[in-house]
Amino acid sequence: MNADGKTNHDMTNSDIALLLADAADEVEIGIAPYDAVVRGGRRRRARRWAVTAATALALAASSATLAVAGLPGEGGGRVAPVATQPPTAEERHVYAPQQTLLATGSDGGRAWFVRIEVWGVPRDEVEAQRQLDAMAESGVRPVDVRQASELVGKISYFVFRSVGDKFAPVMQNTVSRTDTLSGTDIQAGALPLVPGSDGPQRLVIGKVAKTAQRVTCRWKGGGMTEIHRVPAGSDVNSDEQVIRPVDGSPYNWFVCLAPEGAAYKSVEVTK
Amino acid sequence: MGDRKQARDREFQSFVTGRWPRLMRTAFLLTGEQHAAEDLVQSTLEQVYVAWRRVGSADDPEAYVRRVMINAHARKHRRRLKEFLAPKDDSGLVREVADTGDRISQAEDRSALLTALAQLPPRQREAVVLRYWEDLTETQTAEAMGCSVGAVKSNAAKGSRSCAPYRGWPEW
Repeated sequence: MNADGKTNHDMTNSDIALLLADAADEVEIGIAPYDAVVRGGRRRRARRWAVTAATALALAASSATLAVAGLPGEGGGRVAPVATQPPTAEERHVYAPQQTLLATGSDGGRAWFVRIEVWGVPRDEVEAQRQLDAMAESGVRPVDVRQASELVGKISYFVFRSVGDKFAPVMQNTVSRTDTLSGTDIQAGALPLVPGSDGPQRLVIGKVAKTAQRVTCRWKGGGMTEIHRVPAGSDVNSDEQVIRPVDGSPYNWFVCLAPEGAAYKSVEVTK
Repeated sequence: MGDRKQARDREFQSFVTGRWPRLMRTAFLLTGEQHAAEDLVQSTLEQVYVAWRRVGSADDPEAYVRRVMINAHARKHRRRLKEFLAPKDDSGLVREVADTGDRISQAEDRSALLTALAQLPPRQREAVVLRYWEDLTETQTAEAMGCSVGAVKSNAAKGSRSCAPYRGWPEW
């Protein structure tokens, strides 16, 4: 075998390649959507600049706070030293996530709900490895994370959708503890209500800034749904969709379900 | 300045048009689903567009594109794929796919091969597709996956062993 390991199994490799080529032929190639790629690329570029600006702002804000707190002779007597212990990893929800029910309802006789789990911030690699193990035990894994150390200083969230007897994760991310959304920022996705179905994209799940008061979902073919922010800990009422604070999350979250026969067109923060 | 930008745009258009079919096939093997493959390739090319000034003049733009696609696949399609491919009579609890060996060993046709492939853990699937469909060396595969050559060897071997019972898939 050579350094790249390509010699001893040439026949074998080509057999595998043939099988894969046969399977790959099943895809419909179509015409390259050049214009759509360029439009998407421009949107990404604009978004990247916006994110960079927001991150710079957040860092600037936290640096200012640290600088003030660290000034010698300042505030000596104004803030009494706190004798309590720092919160443990358990108290910070590092090994067991905080769960929040985002929405629930009934559609066509089937009960559905959307739930989010937020795992707290590990402070070091030891905590991060234990968190990764705990995640594996509960059946989830952050997709972008290749080693435990990448979890340090970050929260991880998983959003699950359940319809009837089907239960599946639909969104996941690991983000810095300082991540934030502001103003009319919104990140959302639309998908069919029933897992694995080809039905219309009726279920919209997203996150907005803590300050966002109203989100408007517009549906293909006309019509829209407006949802409003409720305080933390508010009751989750069946078939009532709202913007809701989530334990452990730096953003507020919402779920919006299109009426039967409608499908997602757009979503934005409108107040 | 304007001429240079136009020339870059033409280069990018030519790259997209020329690479689209191959990228679609690779994405299809990675995702196992037509629309997911289209989304993966389009999303990959959008990212390539943003970096095209640098990528287009690089020695090996293909390597960059592969890296972007594998990252995008890991990020966006790993979980969704399991949902798409969950059997209709399954309970729908697809948080993790456990041992799929039995289902793989029963695979009998092309779509079953795709299902078997898709039910491999993502890193094994990526290693098998890159090594044996893209025909990359272990070194190139490691670069595309952002891991060591040892990890590629391990993932490709495990992936191909899991698929070995499939219709004459050679075992070694």
